[in-house]
Amino acid sequence: MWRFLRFLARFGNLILFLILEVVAFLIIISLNRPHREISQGMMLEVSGTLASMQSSATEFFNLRSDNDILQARNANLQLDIARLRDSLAAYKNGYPSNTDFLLLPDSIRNDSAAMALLANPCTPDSMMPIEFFKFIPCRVINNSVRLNYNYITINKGRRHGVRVDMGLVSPTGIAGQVIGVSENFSLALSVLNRKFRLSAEVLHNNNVGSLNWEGGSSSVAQLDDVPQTSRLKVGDTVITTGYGTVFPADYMVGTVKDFNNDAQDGFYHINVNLSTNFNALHHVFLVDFKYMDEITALDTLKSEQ
Amino acid sequence: MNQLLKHTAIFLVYLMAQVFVANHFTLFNVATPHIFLVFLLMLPLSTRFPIALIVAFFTGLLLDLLSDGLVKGLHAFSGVLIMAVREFWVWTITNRVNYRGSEDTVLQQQTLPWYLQYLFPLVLLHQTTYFLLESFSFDNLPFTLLRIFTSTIFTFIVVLLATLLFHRETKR
Repeated sequence: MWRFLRFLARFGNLILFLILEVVAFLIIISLNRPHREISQGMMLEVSGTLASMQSSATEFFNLRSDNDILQARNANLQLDIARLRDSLAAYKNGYPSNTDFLLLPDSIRNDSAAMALLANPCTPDSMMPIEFFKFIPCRVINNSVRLNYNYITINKGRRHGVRVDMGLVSPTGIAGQVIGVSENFSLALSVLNRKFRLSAEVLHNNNVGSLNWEGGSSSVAQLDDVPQTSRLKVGDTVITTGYGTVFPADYMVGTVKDFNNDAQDGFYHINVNLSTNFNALHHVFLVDFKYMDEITALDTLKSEQ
Repeated sequence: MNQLLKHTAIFLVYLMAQVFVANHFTLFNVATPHIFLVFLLMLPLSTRFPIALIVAFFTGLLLDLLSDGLVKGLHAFSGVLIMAVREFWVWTITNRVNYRGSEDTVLQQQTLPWYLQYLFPLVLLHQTTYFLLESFSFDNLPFTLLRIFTSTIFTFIVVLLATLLFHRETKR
């Protein structure tokens, strides 16, 4: 206390001078509109400069993780190319080309309506074209994989247009579904949560199954309800169906790890290797479906019936 | 008590002179005479430093509030600044040889060269601070410098005349 008083006695004049000048300066920059605008601009400039200096300093340390992300996206793109090649091949094989017409029986070749249909087959039509979806990039700020009920917290909220029931995807596969939104953050149900349900299908099998997670490994989920009458082999790609408004159609879920086909109920029990690495989940995208409200409104009719 | 009344009277006189006369007396729309500086600069050197600072602050604040259309807070800021600088400046330019009278009356009794030496830098500092803060940017620097220059000359002449006429006891 005495020390403080002695300090005041020694520097009191200086302190008083500084206080009075600061008060006067605050009066200048708060009571006068042009001065306020100029000083606010300066402060913004200073804070912006500091922030960019900080980010340029830390950028170097993020190079490795950025590289990982780029590689993951690259892998995703290659997967897309492979899938497109697949569907192109399916398209070529599934519909007769001109030379195949010669092999058709005469009865059909003489039927002009049938021939017109074969010459201009309907292009396979996704239920929901990809343009209906918008992807909002965001960062995972909290994530767990070891519990039975895992959740993901992300750094985008109501302010950024996030709504409940939006899907969450990583560059390599699906990740979760938003269940709670605050002003700046959102909470999502991870795929690694026993409450999580998703309709998924095996590529080229086309039988819709139900994906869920029974706990345990953070890289394996279960796909049920695919009938044993359909063809299936290990390594087949599992994709989303496009039912509902959460995920776009044909988005990567994982690959078939193994399956048992001796169950008595007539359905496969498939273990799926999830393509998303939940142990290293950093950059994710929210799926913003353009007509979500419209379809949700239609869905309410179900309960009214 | 007598001193306090006297300086309160001086304060009121120069406050009114500034608000009612000098503020409306801008030369070529550029230079404004700040005659109230007489009060601050003639405040006795015996005034205790913290008191002097506070007096300068509230004088400036009152002027800011009473002067319509001017930037608020400028007089408070520059007044406190020259009041603080004055304390050091006086004892920098004064030595035992040309020191006359007591601290109460030193400003009235020093020689004219000393007085000019005392007055001019403080007026210049005040005007510089005032007009730089008023424009609050270096965008229009030539114009700001012109205002600083003309106002310094103008204010210096006005303050010098006022003090020579009404405050100096001896002229040597």
